[in-house]
Amino acid sequence: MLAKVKSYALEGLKGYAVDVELDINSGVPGYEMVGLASTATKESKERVRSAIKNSGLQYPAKRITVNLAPADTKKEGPVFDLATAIGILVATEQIENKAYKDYVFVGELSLDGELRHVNGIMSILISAMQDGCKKFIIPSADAREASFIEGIQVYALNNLREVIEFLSGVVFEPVPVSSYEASCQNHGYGCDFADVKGQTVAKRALEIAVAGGHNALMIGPPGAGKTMLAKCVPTIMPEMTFDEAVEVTKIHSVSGILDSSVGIVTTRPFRTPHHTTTVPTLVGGGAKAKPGEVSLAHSGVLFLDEMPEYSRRALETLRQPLEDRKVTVARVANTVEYPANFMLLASMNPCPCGNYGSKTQVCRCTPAQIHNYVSKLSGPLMDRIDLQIEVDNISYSELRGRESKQKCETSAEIKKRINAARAIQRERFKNDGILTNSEMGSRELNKYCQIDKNSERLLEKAFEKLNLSARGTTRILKVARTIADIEGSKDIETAHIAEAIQYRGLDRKYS
Amino acid sequence: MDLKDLTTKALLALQYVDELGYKKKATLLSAVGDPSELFGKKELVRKALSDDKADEFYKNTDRIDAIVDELEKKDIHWLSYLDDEYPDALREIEDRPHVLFVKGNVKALNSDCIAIVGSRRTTRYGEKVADEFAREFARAGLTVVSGFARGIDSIAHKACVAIGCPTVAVFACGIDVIYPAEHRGLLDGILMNGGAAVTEYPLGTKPLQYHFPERNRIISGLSRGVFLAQAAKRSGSLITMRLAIEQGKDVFVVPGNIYAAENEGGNELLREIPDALVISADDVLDSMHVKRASSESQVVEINITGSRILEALRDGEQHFEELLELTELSVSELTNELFDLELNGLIQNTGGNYYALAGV
Repeated sequence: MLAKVKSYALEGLKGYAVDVELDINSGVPGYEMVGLASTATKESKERVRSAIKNSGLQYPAKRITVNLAPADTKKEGPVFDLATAIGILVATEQIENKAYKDYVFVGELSLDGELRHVNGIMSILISAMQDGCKKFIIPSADAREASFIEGIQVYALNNLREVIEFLSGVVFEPVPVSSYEASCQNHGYGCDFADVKGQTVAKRALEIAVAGGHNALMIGPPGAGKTMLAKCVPTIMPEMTFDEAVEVTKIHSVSGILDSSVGIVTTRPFRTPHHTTTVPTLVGGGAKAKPGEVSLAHSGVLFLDEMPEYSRRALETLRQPLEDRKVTVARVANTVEYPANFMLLASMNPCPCGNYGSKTQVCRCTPAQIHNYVSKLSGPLMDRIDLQIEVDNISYSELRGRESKQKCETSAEIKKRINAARAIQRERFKNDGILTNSEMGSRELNKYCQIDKNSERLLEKAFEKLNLSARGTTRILKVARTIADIEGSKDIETAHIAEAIQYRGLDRKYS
Repeated sequence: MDLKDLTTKALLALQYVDELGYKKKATLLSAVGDPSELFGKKELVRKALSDDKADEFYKNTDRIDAIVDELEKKDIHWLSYLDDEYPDALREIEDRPHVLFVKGNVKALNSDCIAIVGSRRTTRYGEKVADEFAREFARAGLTVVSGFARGIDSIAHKACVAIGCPTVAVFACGIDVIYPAEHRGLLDGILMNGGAAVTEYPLGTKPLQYHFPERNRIISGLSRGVFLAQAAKRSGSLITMRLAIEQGKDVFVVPGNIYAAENEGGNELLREIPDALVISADDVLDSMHVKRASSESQVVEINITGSRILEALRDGEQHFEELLELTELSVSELTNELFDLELNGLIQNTGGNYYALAGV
């Protein structure tokens, strides 16, 4: 008997239809799976047999051939378990109802017949929906993730038994559509900018960085609070739109790091890969061409603490995603593209011992050591960093010798300004295909960053007097544009340029 | 070939003998009337020098035209002490180099020079002293001579380059060897602003440790006065000061913070030679009878907030947060005020979000 069951496989962030074809013949009992199945996929043999038996059904003592069509793409993971089991049951006429032909089956089976979670449900469902599929049977663990997609009927079931009951006419309710807005409520961060005393310059700079999506580098001695400031950055990140959330969810789901009880990523990701990270984990790749940290940080922040400690190779590979805002991961057979539009936030000490330029501590590093340390960050990489923020290690109360009277702004207040600035940018760039000031190319710069004679004179004077490198001009303009947006000003004014220049500290420090 | 040509070429060949001590050269030269006689008196040379050094000398004499060609091709002037262009001040000292290799403006060597010396490891104080004094000296028309090393030396050179004045760097290695390598850009700046680099070592000589004290006699020798910006105990710059005293040059020392180890050497020297004490660039200029540059008074308009900031900075450097509380401005407003003052040259950002009044 022959059976054909529809399922879906993943390639990068896209799903594609896979027909699980089954043929059961008499002969020596056996199980053969063809169609470039990976090990995890091939091992379905044992899971499917046990699951069928333990669900109280018959596993045929016959020769079973499974073909995963199209046969020329590599199939990863155990997503076809359910489809295979259904195929066997159909071929052995244990399922007689033809209703199964309307459904796409996705799910891994456990030995006792339970349906288990699979990665990338959102990608699969969206691709399948675009291909015209309407009805799906998925594991109940993935119900939340599926519930955000409108226009399809998804049945999230617990085990093989339920699937068979459902196919034979027992009524199950499809997964109700969840509201994204409702899921966005109450995310606690555990920290707030109001808790960071002092550091007003750094806070302001981070506000600007987030508002314009600018890459930023914090420089300061150990203990200055760079990491604490960075941890607070998610609290001021602007809200994600539903489309952004779906894209981020896809990536996180494919990587298997999605919290399935929430089902969607509601806060902008904040990724902090360790400095021993390898190139594949950073930009993506490996045997399965998984998304790397740059893609997991898509729409959010990639934070590199102690940036010069990362391997030079890892740092240099960041250049391409920073430029193209996506990464292309090449495997043996094909290439997969992942989005990687992230804001790079990095921190570093001014020198290996951390005390270079400090007022209170003595730096023990030789000039060559300092040079080597700083030169870890190559020119092309530094060219992609718009703001350089000096963070100093004098705590506010220490400085004042008493408790601060000054009220610190809460993250919510800062976020409000950032949301407004982002709205201005969205409106401005609606026909340019970009979202933030940091993404401006030379065409947009000419269009939106015109400055008057006074500002131009100021820039010239600043270059001459303050030892700035001329390479910084476009970055100063972009940052000035963001400052103007925060202030709600239509044009870039001299004051905005002046402030933007202040965030080019490194050019001067190591000149 | 005329006699003078022969003489200078003999000196050049001798100078090109690798790592041959100055004393040996001097003894050998004092034994002959004119250096050109070295070509003939092989016996004498062999007696004065070791065999391999003597061989090297004669090898050099054979390829002397190739050496001269190479120097010319690399645009390097070479001066023997018999040349008119040889700096007069240097000619006066007892152990004057027989041959100098110069890159850049040879005339700078013969101008009125003052040396600025100091430690490689510096504090902000020493850096400020070196920078300010170098600028003042250069503005007054003096040529600042220093050793192209890290720390005080490079700061003095940089200060002159920044205001477009000539400065002379004395190398402890071959003129085509840039040490430390990160000063490549600085050398370009020096050469572009009418300055020069000078050394007594032939092309390709490495900066060996004992070259530095040798080089110091050229620093002081070229100069009329030597100014010590900052020196820790056993700093090489103290050697330069001793040499300067031996050569009868004027020496100047600024006192330093007694709590910083970086100032110990300088302060000790002051105790020995209290007369060397100076507390401003004008002290030095007066003592050398150089007319100071007329300070052009610049009228800068400052608003009330600006003047309050300046008032606050009069007590010493202040952190951004302190100024923020004082002026009750927003972060961006204060940033703008500070930027304005900095552009007008009234204050400076001293790093780590600290601001101070600008040095004059």
